[in-house]
Amino acid sequence: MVSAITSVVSEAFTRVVGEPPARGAKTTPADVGSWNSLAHVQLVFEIEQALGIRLPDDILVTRTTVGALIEAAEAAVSAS
Amino acid sequence: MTASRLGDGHIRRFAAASGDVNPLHVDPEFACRTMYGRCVVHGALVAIVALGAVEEAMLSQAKSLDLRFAQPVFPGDDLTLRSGPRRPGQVAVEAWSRGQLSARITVEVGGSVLPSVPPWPLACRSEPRRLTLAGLEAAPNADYGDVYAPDVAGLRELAAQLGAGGVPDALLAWLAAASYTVGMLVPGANAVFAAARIERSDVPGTARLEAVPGARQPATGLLEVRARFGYGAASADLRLRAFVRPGIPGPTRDVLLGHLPPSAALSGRHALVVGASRGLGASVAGALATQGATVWAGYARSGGPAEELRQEFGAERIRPVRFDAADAEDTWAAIARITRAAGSLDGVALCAAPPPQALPLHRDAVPTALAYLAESMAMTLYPLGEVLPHIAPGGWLALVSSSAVADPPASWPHYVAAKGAVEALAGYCRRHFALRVATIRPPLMRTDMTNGPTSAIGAVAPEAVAAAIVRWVLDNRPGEEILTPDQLTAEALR
Repeated sequence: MVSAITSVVSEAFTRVVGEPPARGAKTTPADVGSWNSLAHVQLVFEIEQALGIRLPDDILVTRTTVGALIEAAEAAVSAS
Repeated sequence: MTASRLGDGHIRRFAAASGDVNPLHVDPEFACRTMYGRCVVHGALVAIVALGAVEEAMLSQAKSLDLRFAQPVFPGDDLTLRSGPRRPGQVAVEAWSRGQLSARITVEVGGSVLPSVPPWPLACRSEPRRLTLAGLEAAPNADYGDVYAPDVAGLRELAAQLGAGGVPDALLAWLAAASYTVGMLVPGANAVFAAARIERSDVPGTARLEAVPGARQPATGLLEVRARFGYGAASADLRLRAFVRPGIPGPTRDVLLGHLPPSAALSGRHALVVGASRGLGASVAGALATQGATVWAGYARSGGPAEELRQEFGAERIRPVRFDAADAEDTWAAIARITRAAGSLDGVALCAAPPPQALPLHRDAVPTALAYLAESMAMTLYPLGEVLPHIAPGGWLALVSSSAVADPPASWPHYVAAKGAVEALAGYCRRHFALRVATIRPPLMRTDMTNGPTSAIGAVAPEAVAAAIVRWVLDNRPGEEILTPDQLTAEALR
């Protein structure tokens, strides 16, 4: 079952980057050319707005996988 | 797939018809002090060109526009349009330049036919506001609205010339209003337009934009702005995003002294710093001045900051010299003037570099990459070739490379190649000239050239890096040839 947070991240990704994460949580910037640093900042912003959380600043400068964003969002929701 | 090219004339006409005369688009002096280094095409103008690729019948029933700006488009760039992802009730167009996505425009269709626009003349302010994130924080609920109506006839004429004659007047007006809101109202001059969602509104209004700042992301300067464009029956609701660029102050004596105690160790010595008006170069010039050196501060365009440097560190220490290091004759003439006045030089720091833009390693990006490499090499080789005979025996030479050489980031192949060449030249000079030669690999610093959304996160102060360079000049330690990012970061943490 897809968690609510995973859905939020996936929908935000699709809106900002223009296509859904092709490999789900394993999607990396190498899979999606338009997932650049500017898009990433806006993706983090959309996730923060949708979930009412604040993600750590280091997430803004590290683009690894969609899964890393989901984990960070889950941690922030748990801590809130 | 269609292609077009936008020039300075198109930018000026869009600025005049939309009222968005934000200096990033129309003032080369302002633009050269941003991370882009030169004027940028309005994102909304790129969107108009892109909409020219959509069937008129679909555009006439547009319910909303969604704009995402990924990379800047510069005057003279070839713009290629491609169909974007299609979903029911939507059509999307992507604008590509230099081998990378610049903008994606999605139109939601299926509404009633768009209304005619009112015959109102252009109404707008002439100067952009200059709001900062801190200023917006202090007045979070203020309405930054103003009277506004674009010159739709002018927009229509421009669109037709660019192959977008089928774009309805209402969409042209909405795009102009979106551009004007972020570029002129809030945040204004410091804006970098990132995204927009524009929805038609059934509530008619008079010629007015109501703009209220919304959520923000302090670490990056990302700001959301909600606006309502009252424009007769063609009114619209706008949800806009822009990055607010913070100002980057020049180096100060006080900050430098926190990293490097003042001394007279370089009293009577002359140094040339190329690229001395901004960023690391300005800090190196200031740091040398705090040690008593006379610094010939070469700059190409930023006369104001060069004068501020002179005032901060003293006219007897800082001597600004205007020349473009990428221009051979300009450089030769300037170095002749300097060496006539100074006699020989005791050291030279080459800090000038063209502002880098993200580029993929892609065939469409090769011409831009080659131009970047040529300009970067010119800014190193012209001064170096002329000044070497004038450096006193035992003098020093510092060439600025980058931490990117050891850890190449994605989308910067041209930058890494240029800095690699600089390092190779440093090695050459080390072997063939009786000089102390340092290769400087600074970590990420916050300067005008790097003043992007994430550049403040983990960035090191240029003053700290400059202090480490001048300490290398002073210490005369044998064998220390490459100042690494770790060394320079450690300096910042001292």
